[in-house]
Amino acid sequence: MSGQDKNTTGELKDTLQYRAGMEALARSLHFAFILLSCLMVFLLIWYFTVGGYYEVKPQENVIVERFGRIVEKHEAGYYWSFPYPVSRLTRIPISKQTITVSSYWHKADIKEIKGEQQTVGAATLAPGRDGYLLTGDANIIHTDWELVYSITDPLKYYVRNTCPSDPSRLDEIKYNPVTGKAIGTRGPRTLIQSILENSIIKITATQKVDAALYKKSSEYRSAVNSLFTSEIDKLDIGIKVENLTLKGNSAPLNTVAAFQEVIDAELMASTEKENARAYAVTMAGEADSGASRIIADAQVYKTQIVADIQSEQVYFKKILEEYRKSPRSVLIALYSETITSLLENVRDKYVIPEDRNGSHEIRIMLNPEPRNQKDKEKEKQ
Amino acid sequence: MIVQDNGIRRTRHWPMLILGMIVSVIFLFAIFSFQVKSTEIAVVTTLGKITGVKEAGLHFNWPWPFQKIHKFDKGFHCFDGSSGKMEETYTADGQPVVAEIFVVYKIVDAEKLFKSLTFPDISQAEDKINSQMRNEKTAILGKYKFSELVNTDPSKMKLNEIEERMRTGIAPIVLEKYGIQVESVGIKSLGLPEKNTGNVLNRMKAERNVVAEQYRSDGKSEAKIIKDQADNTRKLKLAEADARAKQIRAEGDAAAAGYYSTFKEEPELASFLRKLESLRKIIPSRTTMILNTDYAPFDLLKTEQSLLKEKKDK
Repeated sequence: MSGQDKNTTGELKDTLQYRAGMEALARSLHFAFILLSCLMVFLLIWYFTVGGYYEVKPQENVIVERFGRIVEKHEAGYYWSFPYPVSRLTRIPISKQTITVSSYWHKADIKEIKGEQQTVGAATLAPGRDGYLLTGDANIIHTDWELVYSITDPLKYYVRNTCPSDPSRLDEIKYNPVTGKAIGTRGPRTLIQSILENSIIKITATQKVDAALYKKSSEYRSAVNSLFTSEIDKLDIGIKVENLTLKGNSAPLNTVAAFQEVIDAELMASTEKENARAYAVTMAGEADSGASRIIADAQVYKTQIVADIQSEQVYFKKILEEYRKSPRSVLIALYSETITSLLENVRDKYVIPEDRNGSHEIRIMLNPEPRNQKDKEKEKQ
Repeated sequence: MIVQDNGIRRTRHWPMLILGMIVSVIFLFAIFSFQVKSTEIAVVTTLGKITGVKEAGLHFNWPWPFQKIHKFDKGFHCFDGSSGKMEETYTADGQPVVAEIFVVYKIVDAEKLFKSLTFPDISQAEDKINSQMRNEKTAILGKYKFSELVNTDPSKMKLNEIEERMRTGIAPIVLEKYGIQVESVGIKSLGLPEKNTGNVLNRMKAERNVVAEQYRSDGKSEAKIIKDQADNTRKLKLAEADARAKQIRAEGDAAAAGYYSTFKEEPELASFLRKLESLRKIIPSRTTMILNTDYAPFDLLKTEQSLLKEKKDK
């Protein structure tokens, strides 16, 4: 084989190798293309079938927006809809939501007093640091509230409020885009809390401190609830107030002892009045029993006197017969009998004889010595 | 797809082309369209100029940087002020108070709002609303007495009126300038400057002492009244009973008097018997009696007893 043949054979070999490489590459690319195509077909099939299924839990509703427009609302169950970006699902919680309003509760300091940790109120209250309310009689109180509400109209709730991207979460904190500082929250919970705080302030501003704290705290809570509910209804944001609880109400810590003194004094006054009422009941009973006794005695008297006079009449008639026969004897007999029976019972008997002058002299020692115990015992015997 | 054409293998790519076209359409669709949610309103700017305001739905647009989309929430916003929200202000009667207010607003003219902002963020509009809120709060609270902010008589408490006046003060300006409609204004905290709260707390303590003393005093006096009434009632009942008893006794005496006619047959004997009966009743036991010999039977003790004397003489 000449040298030229050798070169030709080498080129042919290179060409064949190149072609084989290209064919292998083409096959690989073709395979990759087919794989990618399959993947895309699979994705398309998935997108139009399984990918659109979603579950709605019992404690939520789902609002479906298709190309931005609300098309339907789903309650608990299993549904299909075009996935994002054609459809957008927004889950609205319909279970009970809770908001705690502690904006008006005290910020107590804990100090050690006589070896015990005790809450101590500050001598002054600073706006922004210490939460409190002004009552109608210009006093200060602290209150702590808990609101339970539920979303009754998810569509209204979603459309009329500025909901966070996930409405089941708390309101989003908004930041100033320039300074980067947090400037508060925005959303339905913020709105509801502000309305509730406003209702609390308005009702508290008409209450007496005693009424809000002790005497009419239930009516106070009801008044706040009523006002808050009417304000929420006016806004028509699709929620219903389930319950509003006055978790705590307190006088400023610095004045708690003085308020306690009032409670003690009120209790004491109440006790005194109750004792007086008990006395009145006793007196009424005594009066009734005394009156009935007096009347009963009178009745007895009435009966007795008639009975006595009747018996006397009988007695008199019998004596009269004998008296008419022998007046003096009867009189002396009766007199002697009476005197005898009388004198039997008389302890000391003194008979003063006449002196020679025909007069009687008697000397009485006033203020005699008291009888001693022995005399008494002798008497008993 | 591979097909045989006159013994030559040819690959047909049209299914792939269709697939590629679908994907391309999706991408193009994504690039040249945008969605506005039901809760939003969008302002479209083309090369910096406002060219449209879009409501909820699917809309087409030129991609960035030709057109930009600025979206705003059109639901209720609740804004409680930013700087100066806890500042001190004075009522008409000179009482310093610290009031914090909030506004509930919604965007009704997104174009106007967008024009009023240097950058498209609602917080910038809120800063401007805040200054209006501060002005109105100071001005309106200054027209009312402290007793019109808090009063136990609800008809004299004018917080509703104050809020409404604040709203009517803020709303037209904000609507005119920023296209924002203020739905309501509310007070969310009402207090006193810190230096004044100390005096209030001291006054509260003093008032409590007075109230406590009042309770004690009232308790005692009411208890006394109740006891006195009970005593009076008792006396009255007993007096009535006495009167009734007298009547009953009188009835008894009257009934007894009917029998006295018998005694008229021999009044002296009747009188004598009565006296004897009285003696029995009057003289109790353990009585000390001092008698002289003038009374029978002690007259027997006399030395010159007449009967004995007579016997002696006989």
